[in-house]
This record gives sequence, structure tokens and C-alpha cells, in this order.
Amino acid sequence: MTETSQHDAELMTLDEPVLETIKRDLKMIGAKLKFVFMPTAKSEDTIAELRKWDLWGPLLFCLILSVVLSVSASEDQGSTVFACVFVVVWVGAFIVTLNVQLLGGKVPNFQSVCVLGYCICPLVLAAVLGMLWNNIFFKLALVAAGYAWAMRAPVVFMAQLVSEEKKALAVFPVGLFYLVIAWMIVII
Amino acid sequence: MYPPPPGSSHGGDAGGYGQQQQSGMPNMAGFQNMANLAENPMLQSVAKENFLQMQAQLTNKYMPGASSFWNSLRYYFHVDNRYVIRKLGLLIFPWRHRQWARIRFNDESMNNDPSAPRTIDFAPPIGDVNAPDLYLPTMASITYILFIGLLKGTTKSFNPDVLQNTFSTCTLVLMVEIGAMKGSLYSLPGGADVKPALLDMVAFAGYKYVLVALNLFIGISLGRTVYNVVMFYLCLCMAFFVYRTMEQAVPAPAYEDTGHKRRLYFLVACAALQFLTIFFLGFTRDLGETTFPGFPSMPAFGADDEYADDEADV
Repeated sequence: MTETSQHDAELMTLDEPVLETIKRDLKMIGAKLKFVFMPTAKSEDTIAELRKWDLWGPLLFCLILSVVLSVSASEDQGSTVFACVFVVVWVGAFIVTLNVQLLGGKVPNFQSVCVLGYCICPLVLAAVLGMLWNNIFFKLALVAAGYAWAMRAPVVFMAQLVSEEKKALAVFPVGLFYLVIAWMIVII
Repeated sequence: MYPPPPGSSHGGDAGGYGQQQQSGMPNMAGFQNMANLAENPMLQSVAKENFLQMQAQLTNKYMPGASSFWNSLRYYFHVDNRYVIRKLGLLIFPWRHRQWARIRFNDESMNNDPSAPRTIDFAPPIGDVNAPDLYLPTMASITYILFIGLLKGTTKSFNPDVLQNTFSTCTLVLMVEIGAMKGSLYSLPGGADVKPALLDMVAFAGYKYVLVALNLFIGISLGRTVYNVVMFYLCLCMAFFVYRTMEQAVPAPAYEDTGHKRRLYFLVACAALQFLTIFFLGFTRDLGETTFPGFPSMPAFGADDEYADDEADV
């Protein structure tokens, strides 16, 4: 009897209240954000957590970033900016993943895209906070801090994928990728 | 439908995707087994393997060359930090380099099986600084595109099309250059060993992006005059590099006299082509005249645009 009720519970997630689903997904996103904000905490949980990749977090951050930037762009460029940011984030993440795979790191596509997408979070925060005050130096400082923070987690992630003498080669495209995003936040 | 994996103990499994199996499934027990599929880690890994295998099969069916292309691409990305640093030094100071020949080893297995696909018998980049790689050109071209965007941003002439236009320009220049080199290779006497592999030539031509990106960085930070001077120097470097590299890649013919002259003309033409392409790629009207710091004044970042719009609305 318990088996049937257990498998009933498994198959019935379609019937649960929407709030439950959203809460569960948010918890999942929150668990991964722990790695982004504290990348040196090398507990087994965080590493195992990362293996279960999901694309909700990256989508959420990408959308927030695109909306924030297109709102603060000039009138006629709003939609172009949205499209540009969206494409740059996803295509850039895939290109960086491709590079790591070509360098010999054995990581599934989507896991790497997931980690890169989550690590955009500090830059998204910087973009949102940058909307408060339109001073160029304030934005520069925020974005610089966000960039430095965003680079910490992927370095740790890449370090465990490729050997020591290829680490800089795997990290360089990640640096470029976040540099593009940071620079777009500054100029738009 | 692929066959179920060998050695699996479940009676009703079908690879973890919840699909019903036609034959011999007991009713309630089998259904419960399938409900627990998602939780069984061993089954998950087996399912993943099967999925990847099926994916590889499908790829081979619809894109016949894909996996061998991927494998040959792996050769060009077999690099490490040491190689990249040495190669960068080679590109910027090519006259200091003495030994330009690539290391090759004899692949004994080729003699046993003539129908096996032709493997590259040069040492991979990780063991030979003269071997071409595709990591540096790729990263350098992406850096170049981003620097162009940055440059346009400092003069307020940036829009998202700039990145795409630069990318198309780079691709076009590469294709034209490779086409010209390949075309002239046909005019040289000699067999298949005269012609270097296509990806080799893409790599050799792509190294100029390292120099152009570096040049652009120097131009952005130090101004237009320094930019022009360094561009001339880097053109010389690239011409020398391509001359020496192609000299190794296209071996001298054994006994023909005309072959020697034609080869020489080809090498000089390759070197001269570098001047043209580097100048074309590096030509920009957006550089400031100032020296250090090279960024123009703050309004270029668009900070004043907000207020300009508000006033225009009145």
C-alpha cells in the first residue's frame, strides 16, 4: 500500500498547487545560488547540487537582465537590446562550454551552461542596483565589483574540470563572456 | 527502439523514459517498478548511456562527417598554458625562433591497415610549439570582435549590429584568404604532401587575430600614432611568421627548377597577403588622437543622453 501511495505522490506533481511547484523550483535555485556566492565552500552537497543541472535559474537571470537593460536603454533600441542580451548570454554560454569540452574537460553541455548562467547573478544584481542612480562612476564601480564576484565561482568550477596546466585556457573565455555582459550593463 | 541494456534486473524497464514495453509485463508489479524508475540511479546512468549512444547513432546517420570532424578538431585544441605562452611569444617576436619544423612521428599502424582513415602524424600542439592550434585564433578573434565593439562604444557609435558585422567581416576575410592560398597551392607542382590540411591553414591564417586584437588593445589605451606604428611592426611579424610556417608546410620540390621559383612566389605572396588583411581588419576611424589615457571624455559613454532626451520632449 505504501508503494502505491508513494508512486502516486511521484506521479501527481501535475496536480499540486502552483505555489508548491514554484516554491520547489525557488528552493532549487536558492540551493545553487549558495555555490555562486560561496564558491570556496567545497562541501559535497554543493558539488552534488551542481550535478543536478536545471535551466530555470539561468533563464530567470537572463530575463531579469534583459528586461532591466532594455528598460534603461533609449526608446528605439529597447527591443534590440533585449534580443542582443538574451542571445549573447545563451550563445556565449554555449560557446564557452564548447571550448571547455574541446580542451578535454568532460562536462555535460547543460551542466556547464547551468553554472555559467547562475554565475551571472552578481552582474544582474549590479544591473538592478545600477538603475537606482544614473552616475557613470557608480555604475562602473558596481559592475566591476559584480564582475569580480561573478568570476570567482566559474574559476572553481573550471578548475575541477580540466587539468592544472589548462586552467587558464578554460577560464579566459569565461572572463571574456562576463566582460561582455558587464560592459553591456555599463554602456546601456 | 534500442534494445534494453544487458544485465538489467528489472523486468519491465525500457530505458527510464516511462514507455510501455509490449511483451511480458506483469500488471501492478511492473507498473510499480516503472514508477520507481526515476529514482534508481543505476538505471539512470544506463539510460543516459543508451541515450548518448542513440544520439551518436542519429548524428552519424544524418550528419555523416560530424564525429570524425569533432575528433580532428580535438587535435587542434589539445593545448596547455605553456604552449599558449610560447606561441604568443613566437607570434610577437618571430625572429627569435630558430626551429620552425613541426615534429612528426611515424605512425606504424598506418602500414598495417591502408584502409584506415588518414590520421595526423604530426605532434599535437601540447608537445610542439610549431604545431597549429585553433584555440588561439578562436579566442583572439572573439577578443578582437569585442574590442571593436568596445571601441565603437567609446565613440557612441555602438549598436548591437556592430558585433555581428565584425563577425561576418572576420569570417569573410578568413574565407577569402584561405581560398586564395588553397587556390595558389594548386599551381605548385607536387602531390598530396604539398598541401597542408585545411584546418592547419585556417589556424595559420587565424593567428593574425592575436596580433590584431593586441594591436587594438594598444590603440585603445595609447592612441592613434602608437597604434599605427605597432600595426606596421605586427604586419612584419605576421608576414615573417607565415613565410617561415608555410615554408615548412609546403616542402621544396625535389628536382624541378620552376617548382622552386613558383614556391618562392607563393610564399612571398602569402606574406604580402598578411599586410593587406591586417590593415583591412585593423582599419578604424574611431581611435582617438590622444595618448594616455586613450578614452575620450565621459559624454561618450552616453551618460548625457538621458538628459538630452528629457529636454527634447518639452
